[in-house]
Amino acid sequence: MHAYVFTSTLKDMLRIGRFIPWVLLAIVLGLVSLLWDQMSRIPVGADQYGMLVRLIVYRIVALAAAMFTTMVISQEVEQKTIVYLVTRTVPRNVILFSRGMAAVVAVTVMSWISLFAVAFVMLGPGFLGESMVWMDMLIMFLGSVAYTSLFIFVTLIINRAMIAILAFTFVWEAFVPILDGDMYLLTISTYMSVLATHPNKTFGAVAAAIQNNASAVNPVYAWIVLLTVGIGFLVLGGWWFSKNEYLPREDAE
Amino acid sequence: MISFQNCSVWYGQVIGMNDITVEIGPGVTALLGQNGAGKTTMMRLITGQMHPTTGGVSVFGMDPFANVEVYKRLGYVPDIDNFPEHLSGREFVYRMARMNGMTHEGATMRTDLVIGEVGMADRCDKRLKGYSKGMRQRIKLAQAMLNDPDIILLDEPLNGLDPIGRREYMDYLGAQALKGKAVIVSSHILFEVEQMTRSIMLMHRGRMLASGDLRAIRELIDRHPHRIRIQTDQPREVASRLMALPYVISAEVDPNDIEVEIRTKQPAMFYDALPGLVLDHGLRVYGFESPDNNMESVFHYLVEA
Repeated sequence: MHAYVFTSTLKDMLRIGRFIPWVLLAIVLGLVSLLWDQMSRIPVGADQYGMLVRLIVYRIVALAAAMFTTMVISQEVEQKTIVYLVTRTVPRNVILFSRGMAAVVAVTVMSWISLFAVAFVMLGPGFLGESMVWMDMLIMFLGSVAYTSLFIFVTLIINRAMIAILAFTFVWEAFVPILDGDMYLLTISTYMSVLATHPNKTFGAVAAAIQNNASAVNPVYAWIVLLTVGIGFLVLGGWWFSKNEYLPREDAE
Repeated sequence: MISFQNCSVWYGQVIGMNDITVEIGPGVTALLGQNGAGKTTMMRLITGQMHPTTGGVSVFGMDPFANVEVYKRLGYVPDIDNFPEHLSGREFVYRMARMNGMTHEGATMRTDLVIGEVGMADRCDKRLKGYSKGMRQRIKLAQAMLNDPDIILLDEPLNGLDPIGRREYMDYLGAQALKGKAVIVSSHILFEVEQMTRSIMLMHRGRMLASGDLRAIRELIDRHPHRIRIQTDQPREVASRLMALPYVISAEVDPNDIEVEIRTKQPAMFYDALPGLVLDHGLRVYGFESPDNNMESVFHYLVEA
């Protein structure tokens, strides 16, 4: 990894202007949690925390990955500044890996803000004392690696990949994990749910379906899948970026 | 330094470069052609952003595609004016220096140096989004010079520069060429590069129409009539005397009766004969010029041919 490429990219990704929407999203999630608490007859606590994290907070990881991975390469192509990246003395695969890792950190940080907001409301100010919160942080980091690597690869092979990535995030990842059959094994969020150490108690059909499918997967298998997807697509992306042409957008068409 | 061997590039059904074989060495070389001629394609092949569809390109004897060894010795000023606009000029150049493998201290020192060389020292701390086109050209040049490269490629570098800026820019490039570097400048404005070099490569629709010294290229097109304008207050008499020469095809008197324009296919013989003719017949000739020595004319001749 090239330290300067990593830090300068991370600095760009964590600019205050980019932070604000994710903080606002976290505040909204906190309010939703409060509202849930007000409307529910079930007392606020670990059960509801676990369900909200699996239903909503894990989705934030995919959403953040969709936003930040476009900044790795495809935004440079769109803005035509790609030429300054690919004519430097840093090898292309190192550029991709360094910028990709910066995106992983940014996605993790942004999604943790939402996690903390939900945990604060559901578990109280001492939420960091709960081991399942720490486990969720780790799972969300792994999810960040997997989503970011996959999405980076998609942005490398498809022009204007955002539509495909958003479809994957909001359609595939939302509905396939609750379907009958084995298709849920092709989603990243399933493996995140497998590793979660929340109470098994669930409320509602959707949460029950996710829990049901997740419980069918061996946690060791989930670790392997998430790590393999994360590392595998990053390596594949580095190789692809080194071998193919990346020109400013108007010329690439 | 740079070698193209039977190089062609296709963009789908459109040809971007058509079977070009050429060698480029030290000094200033101008890459001339209208929009779509293939100049930027050629630049991108040299800078390793593209693969040729057929044929080969080598820079310092290496394949330039994604080759960091080539990038260590190459500086590139692209034609695009896009930057990370939230950065200042100094931050941008510093960032490029760090991405060229320099340490913080080395990058800071080198950034200050090149920014001073391109005349941006007093303006480089403003954000790039507030830069004029001319300032952007200078910052692009600064980032290209960070490695003190042996090859400097400049794609339409004079766009947006004021006359003084152009002069400074051209002088700077001339000084780099004198150090033995290869400076390759693309332009579609012929008079710009005419002031920088006589070594040109003319491109049109992906083809290399001609390459070499401007005068040598002019000889290539001598099958087309060469125009020479003679300033005189005796235009009709001069015209009749010149028409007697066997290699003068036509003579046309200016409506204001101040000059004659002749057309010849053998300009060298004409220039040899002219002084004798003037002396023998006591003609009053105040000057002469050949509009065909202007690159615009050369370019149009070749394109039309």
